[in-house]
Amino acid sequence: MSQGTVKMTSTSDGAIAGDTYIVSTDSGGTFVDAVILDGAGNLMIGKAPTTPDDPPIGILSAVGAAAERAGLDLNTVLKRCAMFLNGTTVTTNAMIERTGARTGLITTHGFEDTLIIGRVRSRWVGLDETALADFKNVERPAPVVPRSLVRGVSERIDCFGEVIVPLDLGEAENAVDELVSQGIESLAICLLWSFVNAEHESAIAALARRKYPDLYVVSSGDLVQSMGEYERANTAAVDAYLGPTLSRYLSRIGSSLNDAGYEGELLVMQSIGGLAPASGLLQAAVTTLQSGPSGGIVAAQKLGEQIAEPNVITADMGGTTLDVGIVVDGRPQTAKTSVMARNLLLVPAVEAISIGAGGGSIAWLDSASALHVGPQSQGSRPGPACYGRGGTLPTVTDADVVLGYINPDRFLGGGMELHADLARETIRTHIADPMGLSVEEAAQAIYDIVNAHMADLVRSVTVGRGFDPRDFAIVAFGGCGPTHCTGFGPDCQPRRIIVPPAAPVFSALGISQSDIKHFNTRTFVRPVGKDETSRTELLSEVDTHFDELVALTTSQFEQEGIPPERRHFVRAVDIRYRKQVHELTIPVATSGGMDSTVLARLLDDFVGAYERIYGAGASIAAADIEFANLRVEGVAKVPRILETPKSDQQPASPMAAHLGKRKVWWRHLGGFRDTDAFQLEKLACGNRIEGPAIIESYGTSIPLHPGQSAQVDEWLNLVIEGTPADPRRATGALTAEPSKDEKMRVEA
Amino acid sequence: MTASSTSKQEAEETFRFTPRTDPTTFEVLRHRLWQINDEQGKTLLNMSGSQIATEANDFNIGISDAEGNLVAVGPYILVQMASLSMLIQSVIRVVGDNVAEGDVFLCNDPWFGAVHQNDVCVLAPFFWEGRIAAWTASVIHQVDVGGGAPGSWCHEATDTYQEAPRYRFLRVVREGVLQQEVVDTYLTNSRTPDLLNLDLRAQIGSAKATIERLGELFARYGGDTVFATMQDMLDYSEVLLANKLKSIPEGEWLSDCYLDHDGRSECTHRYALKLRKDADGLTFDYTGTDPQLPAFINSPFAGLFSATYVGVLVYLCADIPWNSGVMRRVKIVSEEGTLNNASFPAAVSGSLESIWNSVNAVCAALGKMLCLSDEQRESAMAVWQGSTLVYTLFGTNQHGEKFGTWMISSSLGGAGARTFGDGHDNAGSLMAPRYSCINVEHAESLYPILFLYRQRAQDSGGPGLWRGGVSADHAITPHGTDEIAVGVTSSGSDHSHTLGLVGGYPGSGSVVRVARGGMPDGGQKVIPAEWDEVGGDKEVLPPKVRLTLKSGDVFSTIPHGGGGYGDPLNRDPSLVLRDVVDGIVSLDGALEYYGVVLNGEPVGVNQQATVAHRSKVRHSRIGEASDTELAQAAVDHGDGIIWKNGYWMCGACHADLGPIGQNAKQSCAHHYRPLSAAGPLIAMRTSGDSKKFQLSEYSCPSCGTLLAVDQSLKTMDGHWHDIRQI
Repeated sequence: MSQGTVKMTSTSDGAIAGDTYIVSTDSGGTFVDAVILDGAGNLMIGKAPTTPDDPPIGILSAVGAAAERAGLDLNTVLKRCAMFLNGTTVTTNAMIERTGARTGLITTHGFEDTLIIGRVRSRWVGLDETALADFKNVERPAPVVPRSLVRGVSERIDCFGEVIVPLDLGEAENAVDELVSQGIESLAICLLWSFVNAEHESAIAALARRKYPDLYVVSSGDLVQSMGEYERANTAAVDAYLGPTLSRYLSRIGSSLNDAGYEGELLVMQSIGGLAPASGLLQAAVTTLQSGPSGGIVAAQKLGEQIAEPNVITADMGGTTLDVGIVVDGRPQTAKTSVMARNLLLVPAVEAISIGAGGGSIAWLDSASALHVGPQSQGSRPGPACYGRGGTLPTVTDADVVLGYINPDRFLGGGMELHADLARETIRTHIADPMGLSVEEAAQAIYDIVNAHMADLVRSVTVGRGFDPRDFAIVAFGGCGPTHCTGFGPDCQPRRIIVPPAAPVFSALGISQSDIKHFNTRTFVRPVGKDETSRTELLSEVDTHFDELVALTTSQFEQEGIPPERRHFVRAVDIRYRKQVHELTIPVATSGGMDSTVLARLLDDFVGAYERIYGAGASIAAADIEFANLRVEGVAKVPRILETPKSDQQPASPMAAHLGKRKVWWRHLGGFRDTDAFQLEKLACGNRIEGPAIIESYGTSIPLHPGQSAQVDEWLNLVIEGTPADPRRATGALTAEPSKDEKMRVEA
Repeated sequence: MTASSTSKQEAEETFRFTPRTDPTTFEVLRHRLWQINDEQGKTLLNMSGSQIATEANDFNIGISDAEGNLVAVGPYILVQMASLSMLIQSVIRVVGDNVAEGDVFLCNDPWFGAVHQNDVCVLAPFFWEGRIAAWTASVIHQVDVGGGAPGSWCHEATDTYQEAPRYRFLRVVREGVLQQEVVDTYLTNSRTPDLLNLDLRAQIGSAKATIERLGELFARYGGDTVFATMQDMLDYSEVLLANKLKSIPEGEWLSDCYLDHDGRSECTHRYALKLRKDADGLTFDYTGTDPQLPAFINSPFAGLFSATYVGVLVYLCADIPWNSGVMRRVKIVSEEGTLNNASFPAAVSGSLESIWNSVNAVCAALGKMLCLSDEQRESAMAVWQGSTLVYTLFGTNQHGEKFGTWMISSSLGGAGARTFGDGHDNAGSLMAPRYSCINVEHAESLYPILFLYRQRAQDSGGPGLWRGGVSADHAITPHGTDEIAVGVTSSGSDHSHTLGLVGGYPGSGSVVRVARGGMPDGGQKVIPAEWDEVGGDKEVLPPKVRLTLKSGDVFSTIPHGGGGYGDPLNRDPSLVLRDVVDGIVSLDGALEYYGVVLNGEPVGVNQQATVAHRSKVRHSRIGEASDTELAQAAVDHGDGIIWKNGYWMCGACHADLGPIGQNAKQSCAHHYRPLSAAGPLIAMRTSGDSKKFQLSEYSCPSCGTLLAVDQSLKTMDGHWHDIRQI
């Protein structure tokens, strides 16, 4: 860890020597997932419980478990490790549990309440509609900097960057002194208009760093050069709040890895779906807040490349939530801002929309006896009733157990015993008896309702953004994703549904497939005039800003020791119709300077994207167009091991993976039926299974409904096709007629 | 005009809901209809250009059944929700059979459901198997739709002919074809045609998308199933509300609110409400409200309906899906020709003034009602930020272009205190779950202004056991231009619109002020960071005013703070200390309003002195010598005047306050006090001692706990009998 640069042991094309490994870990709330890839493209996976008090223990145990399963030992793997990667929830947890550093904020005098007022919206951001309707309980979360640790300084810059009131540096020094005397460990600085003129902000930051070298100082303009003082200040404050926590975490892991024989630098996953060397994150803790979820989406993107599915919907369902993300044309969809622990942050992130629909989601009846599922969850403690840990309320997992979709004897490879009797009992008491249904019918209703919520979320994430789910493949992972994908998936009419072999550790796999990424953004609001002169002026200004942003990104790469030949820069512009508020990010089709051809292409692309999202004819030819922000994404390819296809394996009969028969409830067959069960890990390329069947694996289970079939492809993905039955059958309105949509699809 | 109660069942039985389809289908389709409406909102937000829609979320969208019953509505501006249902019912009535697939209508006529002319609604029918099966509608508040004043709120208008044009179901799209000449006619009347054009496209686009989604839904599940689900959704919400109402005692609760400026002059006009809860449900009776005026503040019935709807949803439907079903348990009684049920051709462009006052009255009455229900008391709140407080800015911006905008100050106001906690600070509005205020940088980039400060307003939350949420003050000065035309619309300047509950005080009033030449000379290089540091010639302005800001002038506004809950002398002193440290209660205010003595360095609570001081105040309330033994409170704090076994009693010490047939206030110790007793930001135009209003305080004669604080007209005699058992 001492050198602070990324060790690049490979050749420049990114290949890795045959006897070395890439180790990727994803530290979640309950488990650390680990993936080891060897130079031959073999994948080894392992899991171990998270150890929050001493994070390296859990991480090394997970890697050890993966190594052990492949007959290797941990030290050998680490000594021959070309890269060690980690996705972490350490900052997420610090944010949710509010255990970050004591942080102060310096801002422009007169605006000390900016954080606490939070544009009014800080009271409700991150809450769903159900929560919003309960006005009395929509409480504003306390800002990470309490009002008593905010100091205003006399200074003022206007919208043109002109200094209206010069900075009183003496006053600023007093403010810093006072905050330090109040025991702050971190300091954020955000002044009005600092993204246009950083002079004052930089002066205070320099002063604070000089006078208090141990203080963690964050200047808002160094993180993000965007308009909007509340979001900028909050982003800086959260970054300062999390910095010391992340820094301690990284140094503990770094030194444990060194002790265990790994000599390179630790690379950490960022919310944007790219890696950053640990040293580079010391000033950007806020970029790691959605470290984990982004890994799964990157993995889905790479999976899509392997199997020629450029459009992918990811469905990651765990104990409490379902996270849905999309990859379009091979690119994960990203959001320019993110919300974490109900805080609005100007940090781009791979977009994963979440709802309270997980295995622990509670089924309940309201005062009018209508059945609901979620959003409240039993989580993993006490968890579903069938866990036998004291949970008494019926959950989605309980329903899955009652229906036989989950085998209570082989949960987590038999590592955890489930109590089917407790599942039945709770569903009987709370749902079936009050509704006058059988226990299985009630479980079926729970399964159907949670699936409908999942399908609604998938529709919202695709249709709501102008995409048609029929152009996508669904990739299901997480503990419960595979169990429900065969239920909700067909409702979205995707091209196909895929359960990858690494489903239980999918995020860790994605982290191993990511590049180093840095983002820099600058607010730049200018109308795109119609005449040549004004356009030429605009373009030269844009060039200057892009050059500065590239220089900024370059300096980040330089600090990290990334050689110039590995650096790639992608420029993009946020564009909108004048007087509109929402902008679209359009990539610039050149790596060089801007000219009129490039501009014309950029504007065409904007209109095209606009019409795609808002419908043909939605664009307004006559309306003026303006630029809003300039963005530069720096990408450095890291050495990578690619998995190899397994098509050379002998196509064995799926019966080699047969686990025997067991009773499973199939509504369409009228009740429990003896059903074939298979072991996912033992299925080989070319195997095909027809529903009804159950496919079990370490960590998940897939019910294949009557009418569905699953085929194992050369990457050992389970590819599921077919529709179990029209959802109307659930209503009792049994009909064999395909819906109008389906008919049209068939005819097309 | 009433929404009548449809089903009557025995009061003892719990109402059950049995869907026409089955429980799973109901839950699945109900969710999907909401999802489709949610997509409608997202599409509209994405395409809209106006800051009002996208920053303040001042818009809404809904889907109704073929009869115009809203089955799904967006969680945006709630006032527009009820309005949407009336607009849809109107379009069904007006256009009759003269509708074709692909038609889209535009309407902003207040007599057909629009809240005022600025709220432009776009409606489109959804056809299934040749018949109209549903309607979709959206409404966005427009910056300017024409008329006598920039911003279309015509302060000087005496009838609606002097206001912006009203459009009554213009067919802007005919069978899928945009009718450009119709659109152009609509746009040409506006001072901001380009903004209107963008929003109109957003509305048409989102209607189109919604109709496509509905088509997919009907195709997939069949018309009968979707129709049945729509009716189930209405029944379901009705049943949930009916069950909730059963835990609320029968009775009558009165509330009064007052308008202090009609646009042309200061005045005092009354909005009266008697809320009755009986076996049928709720009746909101507005009889006694003053007649409509030749002024722009009248509201047609749509506004009154909306105001009632807002209160019912927020106070009673936190856990009930919002749709027209709940209104089946609500009856509205009102005389036509009054302030909030104005007859054509009253001027109505400032209708929000009457609507907001009606909302205040509804909330005050519902708060009192809920305080008497053991099961539902937790849902009671004092009144939230209580007036429009917006100002328009028109002129030439720093880039030399003409500009016009609305600045919404009211979003910074405070929420009413709750029965278990303080009101939310800077809460936005009760009418909008997703309110927002603009970033200073964003505003300064768009408009030629410089903000001097934006900060929470000290002592603006209504004092109470739980205090009202605090408001915020901000001040601007022209920057990069010579002058800006400002038009302010607010009310509640000579009293407070945010009444407290059960002994809590009202929150601060609405404040609008200007300092001519308030900025220091350019050479001084300082900017005042609070109003007291602003120089020049200062004036507290009337709540509705037009003025021109010149270079160096400073303009400031403070919306209402929230009303308080319970006797402030019962507030935990450590919470008062916290608020003082945070700067939102002053050191003097801690003593004056809460009876808490703070001293030392760092400042702390002097417990002994506090206990002594609070005891002295309680004694003085009931006119006893300070060494008299007072009744010991049986509970930490009461909930005002409660009823048990046919008697009124003090909620704190359970002292008898007389038989239920009488007004309990007659048994209380009574004092009049000036409005300034509630805080320094009330009636600032008359230094806190309003010429017209005073506080009427009622305390328990046995323990001295403050049980009710009314804000009454000085001309009113006797004790207001506002809580009655029937």
